[in-house]
Amino acid sequence: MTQQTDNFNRIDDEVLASLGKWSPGYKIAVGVCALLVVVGIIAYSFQYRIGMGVTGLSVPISWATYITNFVFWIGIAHAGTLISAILFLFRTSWRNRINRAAEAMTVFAIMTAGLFPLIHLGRVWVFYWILPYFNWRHLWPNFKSPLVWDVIAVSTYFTISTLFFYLGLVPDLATARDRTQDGRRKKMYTILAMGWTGRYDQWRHYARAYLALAALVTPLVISVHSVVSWDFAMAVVRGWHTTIFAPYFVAGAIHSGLATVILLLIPLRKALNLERLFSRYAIEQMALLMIFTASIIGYAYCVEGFMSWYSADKFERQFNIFRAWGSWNYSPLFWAMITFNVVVPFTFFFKKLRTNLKYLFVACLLVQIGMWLERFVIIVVSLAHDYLPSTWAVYAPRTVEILVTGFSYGFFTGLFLVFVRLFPSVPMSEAKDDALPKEVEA
Amino acid sequence: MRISRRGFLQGIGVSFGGFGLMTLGYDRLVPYIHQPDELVPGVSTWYATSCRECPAGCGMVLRSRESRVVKCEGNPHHPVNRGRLCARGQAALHGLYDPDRIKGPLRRDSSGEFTAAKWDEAVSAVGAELKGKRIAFVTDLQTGSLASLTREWLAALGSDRLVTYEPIDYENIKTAAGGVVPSFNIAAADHLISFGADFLETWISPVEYARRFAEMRQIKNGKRARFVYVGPRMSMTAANADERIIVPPGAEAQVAEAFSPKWLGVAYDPLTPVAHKYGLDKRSLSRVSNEFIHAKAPLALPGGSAETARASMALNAPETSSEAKWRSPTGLADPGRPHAVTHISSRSEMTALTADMEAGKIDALVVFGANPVYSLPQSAGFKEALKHVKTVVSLSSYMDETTAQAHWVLPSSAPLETWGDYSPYPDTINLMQPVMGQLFDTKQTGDILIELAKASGVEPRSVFHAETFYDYLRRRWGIAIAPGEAQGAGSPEWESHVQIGGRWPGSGEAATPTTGYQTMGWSVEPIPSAVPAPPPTAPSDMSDRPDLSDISPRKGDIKLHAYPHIYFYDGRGANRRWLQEMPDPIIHGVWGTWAELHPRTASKLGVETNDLIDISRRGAAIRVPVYVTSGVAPDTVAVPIGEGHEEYGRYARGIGANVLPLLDTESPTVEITPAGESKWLTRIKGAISQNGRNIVQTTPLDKPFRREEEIALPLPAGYKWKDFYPGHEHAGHRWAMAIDLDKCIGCGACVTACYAENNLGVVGPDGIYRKREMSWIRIDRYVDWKSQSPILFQPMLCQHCDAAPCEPVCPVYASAHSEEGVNMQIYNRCVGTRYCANNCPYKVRRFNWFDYEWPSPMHYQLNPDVTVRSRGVMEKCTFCIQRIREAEIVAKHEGRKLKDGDIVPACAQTCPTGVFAFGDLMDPDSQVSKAFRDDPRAYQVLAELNTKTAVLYLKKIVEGS
Repeated sequence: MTQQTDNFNRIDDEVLASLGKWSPGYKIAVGVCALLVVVGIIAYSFQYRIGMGVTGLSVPISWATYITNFVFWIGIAHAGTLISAILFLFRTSWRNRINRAAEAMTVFAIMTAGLFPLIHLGRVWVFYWILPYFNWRHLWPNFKSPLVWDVIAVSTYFTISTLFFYLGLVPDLATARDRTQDGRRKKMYTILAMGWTGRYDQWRHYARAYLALAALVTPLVISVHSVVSWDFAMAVVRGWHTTIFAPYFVAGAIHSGLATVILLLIPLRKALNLERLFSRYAIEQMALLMIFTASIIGYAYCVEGFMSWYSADKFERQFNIFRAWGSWNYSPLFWAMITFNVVVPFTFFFKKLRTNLKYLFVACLLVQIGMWLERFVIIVVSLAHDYLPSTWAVYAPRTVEILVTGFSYGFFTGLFLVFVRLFPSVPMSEAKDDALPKEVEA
Repeated sequence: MRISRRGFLQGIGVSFGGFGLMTLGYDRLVPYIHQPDELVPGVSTWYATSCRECPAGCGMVLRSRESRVVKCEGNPHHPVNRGRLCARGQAALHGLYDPDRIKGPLRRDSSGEFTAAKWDEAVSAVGAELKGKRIAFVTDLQTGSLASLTREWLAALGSDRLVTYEPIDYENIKTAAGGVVPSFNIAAADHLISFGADFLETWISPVEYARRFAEMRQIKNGKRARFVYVGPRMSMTAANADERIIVPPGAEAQVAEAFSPKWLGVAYDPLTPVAHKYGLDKRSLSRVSNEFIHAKAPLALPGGSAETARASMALNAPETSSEAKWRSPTGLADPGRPHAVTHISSRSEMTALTADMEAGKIDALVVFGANPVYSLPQSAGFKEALKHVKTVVSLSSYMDETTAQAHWVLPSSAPLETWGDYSPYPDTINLMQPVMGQLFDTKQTGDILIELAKASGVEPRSVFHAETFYDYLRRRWGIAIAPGEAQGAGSPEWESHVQIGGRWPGSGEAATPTTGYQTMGWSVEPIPSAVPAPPPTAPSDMSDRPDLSDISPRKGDIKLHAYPHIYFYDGRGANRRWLQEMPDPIIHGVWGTWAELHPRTASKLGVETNDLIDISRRGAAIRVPVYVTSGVAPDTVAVPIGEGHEEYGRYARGIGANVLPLLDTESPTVEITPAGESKWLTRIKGAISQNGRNIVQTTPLDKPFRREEEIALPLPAGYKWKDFYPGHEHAGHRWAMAIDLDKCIGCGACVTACYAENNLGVVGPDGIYRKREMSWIRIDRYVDWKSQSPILFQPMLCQHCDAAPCEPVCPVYASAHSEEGVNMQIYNRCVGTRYCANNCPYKVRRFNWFDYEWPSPMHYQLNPDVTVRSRGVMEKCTFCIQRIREAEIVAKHEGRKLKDGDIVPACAQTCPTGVFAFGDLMDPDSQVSKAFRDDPRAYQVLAELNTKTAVLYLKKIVEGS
């Protein structure tokens, strides 16, 4: 019994120690993020004032970097829920120490993603016309439009995953409240902990609610990215109009999400001295999961190629050939995408590689690039080679788009960095649950 | 701070008052206090006048709304153009509303800069300077009253030095056809060969000839007249030919000679050396020759060099060979009805004038309309000669290169602001009237001349028998001018002339002939008795016999073929931004100049498309990007005329390069050196090949036309097993359009008409580079050099699909279906997701990337019936919904139903060949209904997408398969 308490204390100590002082390096990292955010906001204000023309968009290619970013960030948002909800339902124990970080990542990624449809809107000042709200003219949005589905799906996902995230945080907030000395922080934790005392009935409600939300959020993981994929699959554009898009996008989303979690955890466990809690084992498990998602993506790539041949549709065939070999602008991106998304994760079959954190870090970075390129290739290259050859064009992002993309990285990373210094980034209660001797649990 | 109740109310009052005052700065709608007669707000008034954008002299009617002219259309009664206009005619409005027009008289001060002057002081100063001096007058082509006034004016000032100067002077034809430019009855020909004459684009009277060409090409008894083009380049006219013979510039003459019937029965085949020399297919050459010679009504159009014109005119009136019994002359080239371009002075007159100026024999030069500093070759030395003239007076409306050299600028009003007349043919006289008030402090050219005469001591009444040009004009039209008669009053016959836009055979009962008209003995200006001799500059190394010795350039020499640009003509259209934004039909180049090179020539020079080259000749040089195309003869560089202005205005200045300074002779030999750098040749992006997608479909002439696929009707009846949703129910009408690809010549008049009608933004070269052109209708062109018809044109506009892909994807219903079948875009509902544009397979939707600008006074041209879109919204073709509504209102007022043909969209209205048919698909007798139901050539673009387009295309008819 004493050993157990020691262990509990040790978890609390280690986790709460990570909320300590910011090292200069950490401050610089947050400062860089803040700079990216400020520059991005200035760039966007310019776009707002002058018009969408400051981007590189054109009429055949009227979606590009912004929508790529949207799909990219939404994709990243998936791993968090997968780890915290789906793996929770499957009682996968290694997720118990990393799920907080993954959930935080989810919430911040949706916040980032949600900005992009607005950034890309021609008249953002009337964006609320897409929302179904009561008005005296009885003007409703067009529920046939996948964009309306998108709004509903993303906002639902954001709401549920935020609730889920917050609910899991409550017991830890109470611990932090009880053990922190700093007055202002104590006040903040007190308010946020909402009077959690750890009574039996509170734990009982908590467990029920957690389970219910986990069950609720699980289908959302599947549905949100399916709906996002329908933005494309419902259109007539070749390269978009494919029934495989929903599973393909969901797998891709989880793929990129897992890569992001690994990418964040590897430096984080060092910076916060949480190497024991963010175990190598959990990271390795995620790497193994990525092999699975990479195979689904690889399969989807093959199916796309096969279907274009099997359909005997000249537009489809020409498009696929163009995408792979047709253009010096785009074909390298296509091959980079296949290499980074499928070939690189397949090296995780080797235990030596997947347990080498440095290698894993680089590999996950490549997967990130690959997944961004995948969305870019789907969106831009399909639009670049549409039905009428007379309208074919080429797209390249311009400064404003690059700066706004930089903003999204700064915004996301900055939020995450600040979060892990303010709130327990390891779910202490669940980690303790993990630390219980098996007999007690039984 | 404590606020009392009183203080609070005071504050509220002051702030509300402040808000009230703030609104003072805003534009308001103010009703008329005294409403002018005949002016009903919202109702258009139409004024007839003449187009003066080129010497063709088309009749024009201008639509005026609330006293501002907003649209040009062809005068439906006019015999030249029958209601149609070309792109340049449509853009005449930009001549009127040019923001760079000269806004008042200018004088050059001691520092060499222009300073504003007042009319009376300017006129008296210039009048004094002209008095007793040796004056020369350079004008563009004028006929009728202004020409006669100019001559009388010069005579009164003691001079007769009038040079009617046009860079495109048709001297080759005049030389070949006995001093006149005949009219060509293309419609009656059954075999047409054009020897370098681009009669569908720029040659003499393009709108008229395009219409005649469409008439000629109609199929009669399963056959149709053949058209063969012989020339140095694949021009738009060549693209419309059944067969092309591409030879270096100047060599058309040898082909024409070899086609002559005089070789019939002679034991010599002139085709063999020609075919051998230019690498042509001997068999097809002799087939063309045979067909032409044995046609019932063959017609050869003389273009190209003087020798080409001579040889081709000889084909129209062949010498009868003693042995071969041959048909009598067809009379299709009628010198008895000469075109106005006959009156252009010969080149030697301009050369002589320049020499006299150089020698100091000219004290004062008055320039009107012409721009010789821009258009004369550098070797002519006009600009230098101008420095020897003490007083140079420009009457131009625009600050062109010549005007920029003037000492005095007395700006004329734009042609649309003036009274006048112009006579394209002896029997056709257009009457011009001011279609709106003066925009700037300008005067009519005639009035300036009369005032100048007065200022230099001439009594106008005794010389011109009139005090104003208006009176002068009316006197010449046989209208009695009573002394002291109020200006503006007129006799009924005068008013009927004004109303109808002039007089011509059958100009209507409204225009009753007046005695004065006849007694004045006025047909046109008498043709100058001294027919200009062949100019000394014309190549004279040709004998009567076909000179088959090597006149082609020596190895390595490259010949320059400079051709008038379809939209800028000789350069005068360059400051019309609609025209700058119009893609050239073949290259799709915009906002610039290029050099077309044959792939072989290009590889010899080591250049590719977009590489810059220097083309030089005798000290004059231009630097232009290359466009490599098989559509130009080897060892030839083809460069369009019209760009490269140093002055003229914001849209022309510094764009492209001016090739005219190099042209000291016809198709001179030039040196080409690669500049070693590249610059993207501004052109509409997109692939040129159809990639086997069968978008522009063709059908062979010799096989029965057959519908291959069922047409998916854009009506509920068109919804079959393929559809998930049922069709739209339509309320009374379902608007639809049929486009006959066989008639489309690719001229782009429809595109400019759409810009004018629908307030389309102009994006400039950067916008084109970023693929953001705003055209609601565009002419797609596809190239396949292996095909019998290598270049295919296709007008592409919103297809108004019944199952439109753009509609379901809009989250806010901004893209919606109207109950009359029109695919609407509701601008003020649009939030700008651009999803509709992605999902449109035809890519006809246009996004407002910026707030596009209309610099003053261009905004006067905006059509008040059409919303000006703000940035962030999507837009596209509306089928000219404003015209549909107008026709509906008119029909309702007249208490009748709409009938087929009541509604004519702007594109259909202006099309010179009548490509478009617009109407109601629910009216079974309408033209479009018949086309949808019966036409065997009908097809829908991208029919496999099952979009049920309401725009039907009729396949182009081609020879062979």
